[in-house]
Amino acid sequence: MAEVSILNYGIGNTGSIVNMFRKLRVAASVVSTPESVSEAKRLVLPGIGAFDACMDALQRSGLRDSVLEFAAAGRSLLGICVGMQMLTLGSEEGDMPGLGLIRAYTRRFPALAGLRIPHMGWDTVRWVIPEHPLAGNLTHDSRFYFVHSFRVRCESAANSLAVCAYGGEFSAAILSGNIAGVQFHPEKSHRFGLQLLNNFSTT
Amino acid sequence: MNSLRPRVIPCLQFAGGELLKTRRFKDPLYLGDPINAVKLFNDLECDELVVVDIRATLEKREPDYAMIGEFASEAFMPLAYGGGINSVEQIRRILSIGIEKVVIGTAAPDGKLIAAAAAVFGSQSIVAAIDVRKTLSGRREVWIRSGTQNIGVEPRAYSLQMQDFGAGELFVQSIDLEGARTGYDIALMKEISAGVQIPVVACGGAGSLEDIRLLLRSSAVAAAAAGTMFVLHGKHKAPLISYPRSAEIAALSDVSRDPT
Repeated sequence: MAEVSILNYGIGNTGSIVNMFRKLRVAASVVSTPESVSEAKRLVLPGIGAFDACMDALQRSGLRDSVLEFAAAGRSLLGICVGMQMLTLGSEEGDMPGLGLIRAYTRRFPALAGLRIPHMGWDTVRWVIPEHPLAGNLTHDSRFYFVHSFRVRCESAANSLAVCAYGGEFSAAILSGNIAGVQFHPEKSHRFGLQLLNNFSTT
Repeated sequence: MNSLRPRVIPCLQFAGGELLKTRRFKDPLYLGDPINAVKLFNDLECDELVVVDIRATLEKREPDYAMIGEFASEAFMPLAYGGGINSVEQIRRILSIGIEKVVIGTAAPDGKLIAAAAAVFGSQSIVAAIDVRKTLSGRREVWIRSGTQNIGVEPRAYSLQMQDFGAGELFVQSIDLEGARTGYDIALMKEISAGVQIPVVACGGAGSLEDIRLLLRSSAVAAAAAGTMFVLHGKHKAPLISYPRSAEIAALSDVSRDPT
């Protein structure tokens, strides 16, 4: 049985996430039915593009409730990029509500002169909760690849696992119990991302 | 921090399973196995990688999906693919394999494919290629079809059009300087990067880290790409994969940009 299941709801680059778990020799499979979600040990929620397009695709795939039930069962869920933003209450990018699994909201970057959007490229993060298993063996100089036009701000600092600074501080990783999300792309972040996904596969 | 350190991006050319390197888009030199090259750049922890099938358009064939899949399984950094792309379905297939960005050149001018693809996959996945050649009188013009067709458009106006169509990034290459190792076309990169809001990747002419430093100091590009510099070594052009260390890249942009 797969250690990690990656949700395919029609949007998101499942190929590169599968490739990285293969590199880690962690059994991973792509899932797209309610049954396979309910049987998953750990679930990855990818997302790319516009917030509403992702929420709409998740709704139409009939998997939205499955993800919520999976989360309620206490098993580990990891949202990546827009997949992390989907865990929040909503986004200024769209009109649809988020999954609301973490008390946070996805907002615009501030309009600052010289601040190019998207935030695209390699950046370092500061681990606010360095003792958390997801941050294991990752130091403050770990580099991750980001590409996003909106960023998450948590209502409570307790939900912020890692922060990054670009036009002010934002949450690069968020957390609430068994639910976690990362704004960057671990599957595209060399040994740093490899370490994070390895950490996730043992949570 | 309100700016990211610029990216340094190796650009690999291939066709028919061979790693190649051209000069001024001509005279391809055979360098070996492209999958091995991708693996080596992955081991060197490069920022990002661009792979271009330099014959797909001219041979009117589909992208080599099997080869692209091999690249994706070796690359744990962002990977862009260009060559022979002319439909949304092709892009869907390429992105699902594990590629982050597609580079569109020959199918870019009318904007239909870029707009349609950006609407479906998001602008961040869609890169417009702008290949530029100088006329005898020194005027710069955009060329497509691997540098075989002049569309008679000036690069700055073209770059703004590509941004309006929905491209999320521009890959701007000087055909005249490709493989020359004498430095980038700074005037071109400065002009384009000052006009658009989206990131510009500059390519063509890099021979040393000093060339990259000069580019970053003189223009607002977000990334410096190079082929020859990272795959060939010395005046005899021996194949050798190389890439600067992370600290060297960070030092490239430590100088403040020339405001003029």
